[in-house]
Amino acid sequence: MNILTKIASLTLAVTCAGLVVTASRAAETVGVNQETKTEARKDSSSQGKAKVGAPAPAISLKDAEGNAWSLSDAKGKVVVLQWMNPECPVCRRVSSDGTTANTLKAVREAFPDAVYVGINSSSSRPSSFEASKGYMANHKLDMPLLIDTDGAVSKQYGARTTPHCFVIDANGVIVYSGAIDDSPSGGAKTNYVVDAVNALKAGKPVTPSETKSYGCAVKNK
Amino acid sequence: MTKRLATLFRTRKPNAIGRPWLACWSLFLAAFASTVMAQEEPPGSSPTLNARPPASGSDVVRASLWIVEGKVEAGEIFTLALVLEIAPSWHVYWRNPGDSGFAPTLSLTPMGGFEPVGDLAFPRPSILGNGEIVYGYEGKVALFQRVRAPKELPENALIGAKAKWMACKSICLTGEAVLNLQATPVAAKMSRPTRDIVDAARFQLPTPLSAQSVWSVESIRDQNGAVTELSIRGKTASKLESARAITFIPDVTPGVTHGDGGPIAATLEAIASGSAATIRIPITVDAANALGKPLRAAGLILIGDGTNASDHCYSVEVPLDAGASK
Repeated sequence: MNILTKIASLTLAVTCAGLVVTASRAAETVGVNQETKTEARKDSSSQGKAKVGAPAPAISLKDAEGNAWSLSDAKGKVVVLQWMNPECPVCRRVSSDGTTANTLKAVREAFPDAVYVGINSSSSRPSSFEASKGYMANHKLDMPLLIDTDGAVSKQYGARTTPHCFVIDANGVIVYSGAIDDSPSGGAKTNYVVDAVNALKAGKPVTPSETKSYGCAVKNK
Repeated sequence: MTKRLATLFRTRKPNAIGRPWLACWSLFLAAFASTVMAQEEPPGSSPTLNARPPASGSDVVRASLWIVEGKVEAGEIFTLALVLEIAPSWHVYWRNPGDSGFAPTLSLTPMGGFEPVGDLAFPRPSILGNGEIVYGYEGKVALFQRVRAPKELPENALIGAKAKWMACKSICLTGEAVLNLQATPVAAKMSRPTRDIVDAARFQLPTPLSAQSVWSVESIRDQNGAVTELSIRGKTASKLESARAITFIPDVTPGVTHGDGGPIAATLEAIASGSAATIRIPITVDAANALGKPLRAAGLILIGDGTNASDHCYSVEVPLDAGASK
């Protein structure tokens, strides 16, 4: 009985130690948040280098399955970039409710040789990269999901959210940057990416060429 | 081994180990008590904030709907408050969320015949962020929606609504709640804590800057007539205000960009009668991106950090003509 009491005491000690560690970790996290609350926007000098009307910065990445992909290989084709993060609920929403699939379909109807890729720049969350494997297949999306391991491409493009979309014309010029559509919580009335691609198809100016993207912050380092 | 441990414990004096154990028990009990307190259910209609780990935004934000102004009478306008109680360390977003996120929405179900009048009104947000620009709310907040009752109002009318939101800390979750509120014959009465949330939020609703005679807004144009800057100048309304930070934050204005979208601090200067604040806001206009809406520069002027009773909040809205476009 006495031994059992000691074992119970030891268990309690381990529990308490765990609580202390958890509490100290939580305190550290709070400390970090408080420190950074007053920080200016991270990487402000490098944000938004890619401008509408300017040539699209080069991209050379591997997809989640390890296949190499380069923007230069899509020369002469319309390209759509969509920032994605399998751990972001907004990204999952546009993947599962048909928003991305319908956008992809409309883009390929306008330009059968168009290239549509997802980019995951969640370099501060390795678990997101891990979750990228099979993500497109699971959502029946016939497009690669590129892994931007150090987040450099997101910084070059100034991608702020998942999903943040860019449309690049056949001359390699960015013609649209912003939200995929006009409704963060679903039920959109206007799909800006489809409108941009249809404007390219019709030889008209892309309007709007910039909108405010919505969703989770791109979790780059 | 067991024998050695038993011997070790037996040879110790009770007082020698009693104090650490007492401290440990205290810590354990304190942790238990705080967990229980965190799980205590606040008033409202959506699920509790006790999911571990949270699976959706509904686990970290509790939503409830209340009638806070006016009576629900046929054809008359009254005001609803959407109260959001947010779990510690999480935040929801203002109308302009900043770099990411999206603002909460409240949509009325059409069946009851209740119709929204105007947009959802947001109180003064906080400037948050973790290396990015975030405008939003932590803790508790109420958003306000004016509503017109149907001309034929049943005896037992229910107001049906759906609230949606995005809540973030290091990760983000989306949540929603279907809220049904008894409107007639007698509306549900708010508890004191809920009334406090509503009153605090109502106090923090922005007042139009145009109603403040001590402030002026000037549009600076380039040689082509395009607006390139807003210059907002004002005498500080009190000595206390003059000692506090004054900051502009931009609203959602398609086709119009204010600086880099981040907060812009005022500069304070001494004048004969006290001090004056000047906020210079770089403006970029592109009418093609206005999404069919009138071009306007708009935002809030925040006095202080919102923790003081004199921390007022003013709304600025400046219509921009087509000549203002680049």
